[in-house]
Amino acid sequence: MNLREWIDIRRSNGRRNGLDYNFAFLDDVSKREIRRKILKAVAIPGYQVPFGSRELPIARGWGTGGLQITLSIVLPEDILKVIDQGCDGSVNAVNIKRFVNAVTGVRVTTDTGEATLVQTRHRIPEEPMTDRQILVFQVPYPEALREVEPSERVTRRMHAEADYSRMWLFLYEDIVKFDEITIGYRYPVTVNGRYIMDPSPIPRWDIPRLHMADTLFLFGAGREKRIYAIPPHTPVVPLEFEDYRFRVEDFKGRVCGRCGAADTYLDEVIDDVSGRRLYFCSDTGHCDKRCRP
Amino acid sequence: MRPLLEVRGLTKLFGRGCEHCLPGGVAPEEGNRCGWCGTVVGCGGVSLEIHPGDVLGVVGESGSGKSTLVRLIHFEIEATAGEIYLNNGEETGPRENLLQQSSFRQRQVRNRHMGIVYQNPYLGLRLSVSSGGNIAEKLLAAGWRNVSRIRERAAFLLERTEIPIERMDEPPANFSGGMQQRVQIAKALSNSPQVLLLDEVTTGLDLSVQARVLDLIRNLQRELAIAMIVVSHDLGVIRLLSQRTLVMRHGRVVESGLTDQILEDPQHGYTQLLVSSQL
Amino acid sequence: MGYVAVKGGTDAIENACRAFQLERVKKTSTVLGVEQIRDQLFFLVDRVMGEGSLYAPDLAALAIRQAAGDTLEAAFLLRAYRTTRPRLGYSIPRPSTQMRIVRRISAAFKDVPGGQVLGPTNDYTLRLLNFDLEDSPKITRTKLLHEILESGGSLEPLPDTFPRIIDILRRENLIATPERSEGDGKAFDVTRDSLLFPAPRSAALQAMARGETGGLLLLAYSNMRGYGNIHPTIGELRVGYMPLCIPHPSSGKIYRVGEVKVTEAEILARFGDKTDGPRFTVGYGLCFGHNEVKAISMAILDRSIQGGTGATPSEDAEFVLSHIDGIESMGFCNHWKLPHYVDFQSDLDRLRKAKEIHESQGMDRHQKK
Repeated sequence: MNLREWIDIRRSNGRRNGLDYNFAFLDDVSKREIRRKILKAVAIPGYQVPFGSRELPIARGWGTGGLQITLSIVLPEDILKVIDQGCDGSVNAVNIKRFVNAVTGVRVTTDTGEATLVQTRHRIPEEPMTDRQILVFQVPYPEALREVEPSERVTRRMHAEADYSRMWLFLYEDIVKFDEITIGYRYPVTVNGRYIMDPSPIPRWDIPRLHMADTLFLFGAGREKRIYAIPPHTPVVPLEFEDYRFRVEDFKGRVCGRCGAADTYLDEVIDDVSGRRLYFCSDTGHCDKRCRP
Repeated sequence: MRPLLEVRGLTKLFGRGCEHCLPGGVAPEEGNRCGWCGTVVGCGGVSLEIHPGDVLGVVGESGSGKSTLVRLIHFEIEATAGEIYLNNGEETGPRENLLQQSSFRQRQVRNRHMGIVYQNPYLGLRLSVSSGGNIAEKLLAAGWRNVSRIRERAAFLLERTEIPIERMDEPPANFSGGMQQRVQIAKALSNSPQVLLLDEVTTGLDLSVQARVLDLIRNLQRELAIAMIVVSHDLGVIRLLSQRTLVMRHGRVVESGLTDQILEDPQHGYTQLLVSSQL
Repeated sequence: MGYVAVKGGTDAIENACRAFQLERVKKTSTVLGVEQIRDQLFFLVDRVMGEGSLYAPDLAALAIRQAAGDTLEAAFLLRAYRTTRPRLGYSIPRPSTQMRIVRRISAAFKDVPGGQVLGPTNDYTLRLLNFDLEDSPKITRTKLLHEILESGGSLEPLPDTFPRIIDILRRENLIATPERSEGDGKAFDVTRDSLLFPAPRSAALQAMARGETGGLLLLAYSNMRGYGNIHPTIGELRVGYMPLCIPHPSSGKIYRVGEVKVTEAEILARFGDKTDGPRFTVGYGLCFGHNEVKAISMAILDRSIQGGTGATPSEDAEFVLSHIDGIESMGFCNHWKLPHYVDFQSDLDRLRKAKEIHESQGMDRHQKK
């Protein structure tokens, strides 16, 4: 059944068939547990808190972690924005938005400035966010050290003992091979001078936005069952060497073909007809705003 | 003057242990397996002291516990009992028994003050990482964050261990056995440790290669005045490198003293056997 | 423009859902009834209940129809539904001697107390596709029952209870005592708490009971073939109905409220040499419904992760338990279909930069010559 039918059944059958869902779908016990884990995550910036991840009508790997955080903290008066790769209209974003709206009735928006709660997959909105807003990230791989160590047991110990030399060694080897650090998205950062954290697959472009921000950042990995957080005004520093510094993507002076912006992350698109490359703002909400007179 | 490294009553039992075999129980003549409970004494109540610049040899046959001793000092295996003190320059004040510290603290001490070279390069090196990278790992763990300076230091160490610098970015998987040992030595020295542990480092190498590696170790020791513990079953190696020696059998020290004296005038029956069979 | 439209995304999704539903009804065949699936495709229903972790044959049949036969999707539907059900409590464990036996065999002994009860199984059928149109169920039933009754053999009723082979061997001191795990003896609940390693045995068993049959089979098979050393013998395999007993919420008195069909497998593995002498070690598997491959695989993996050194995948608890959940693996596999163009853009940037450097170094070298 599609979401509309599900909503209709819920409304018509309601209590009779036991289909009366709690506000925001999750039962109170689940919400309480997730909130507690969020608090713990905020208290220990960058540390991955294990949590009993619940199953949702949306598949694992498709944002259930971010969704559980959103569902645990959303209030009826919230205004929700959901983006995927920066776009409000992407299949994943639309599906999640419809689901949350259906189980909470909250207003949805594509305007970052207007939203109080933003759930995102793989991008941070271009507009600076405020201390009245929360940004929830969908995370596929919570473990920054997975690249150098497949075992969860070992990586937990490495974090506990701040034993990060193998991660640094990985970067050094990159430089030896390519004279550059070749990590694109999921660039590892040090949070509050202590934990190395995976910022989720956001591009390097967005990494500087994590540092000393006004906004609370929450990260949810549903399948891997981890929650972590960066509270406001926390130093977040990408791993770099003194002589090989962190660099964001280089768009070589190109601008958005739609709104003309020269300071946003651009999507490269292959033109159907000519085969040329065209460039447009990844953050469609921001692009829309700039286009409006 | 406080010793650089002090070990007291270091014991490792594999098994439950019982009143018959706990330290002091099983005599060395009976072997290292307790007849009552089957517990194996890997290391039984070993004590030693090393001052800066000392070279201590540890000799015995396989199963004597000499490698276990080194692994215990390197915090690779958990001791059953004992004390280990590392003096970082303070002459007075309380000392911390490193065996009672957290694994985090042990790792810290190990990274900063110790280096180890194993018989098998697979244990001491990451064979798929470049040889320079292998050396860099300890520097990175100590907080070095400048690639040029890291490479300078790595190049310096490779030169000292007679490895062509052009091979710095190659993984040691492609190197000969002798060269892999020399990379291990370079890696062990990267952080300028105070104590270098050498566990059968030339065993299994061709004789000419052995000679070269031993020569290198001896020269480095003199130049850096670094304290070393040299473990070997080969009395020739012990004689070449160490001033004092411990003889181990069944996990216990059966004789200790100046290397020359032990080799020329062994007192314990087992030492006599060893000396007569080898030299 | 295609996959990520600034406008029209919602319509595209809704039409995609409709098109999928259309696939099922676009031909002229009669719509499948839920009862038909439940009654005639019972192995499928049992498998989906096990992987969905919800014992509800009607719902499983409904899910199978809705998912057009995709077992991973059907199990997913059950799991998602399960999440919405209030948790009333935990049932009381019961020994499987209380099982109402449908099938019970042992490979360890030629004959066993209670007998080798073959029950309904296709183990001995010749795998020849049968193209005959079937008679009506009523005619087929009558014919088969007639054949069974006429075939001779005794018509003694089955005993009420069958002693467990493992218990018999245990009394003879041939079975190693299981290692007692720490904790208060309460079973771990993986749907409530996050699994960390080393995991308690109850957590491992629960994770495997919910695991995907093919995944469990793959890992167990690797062990059997030599990536491991269990060398199992099936001590006992049982299929039957276990009583479902729950305590009254206020009086605490225990009531039997129904029964649940399960498959239970206990395997005997070559003896380890623990300090209490040579004994057989036991691997245990239990799952909803009739699913022998899953129960046996589970039992083998239970043994291999308990006793193993972790040298091979099937002996590594973290490897096994992290990868056997069908809903997780399917979801993640499918997620690669989601747009990844921002991530890819970042990679493109890196690659182009690295190429530039590589080429400029090449030119430098060229110039030096």
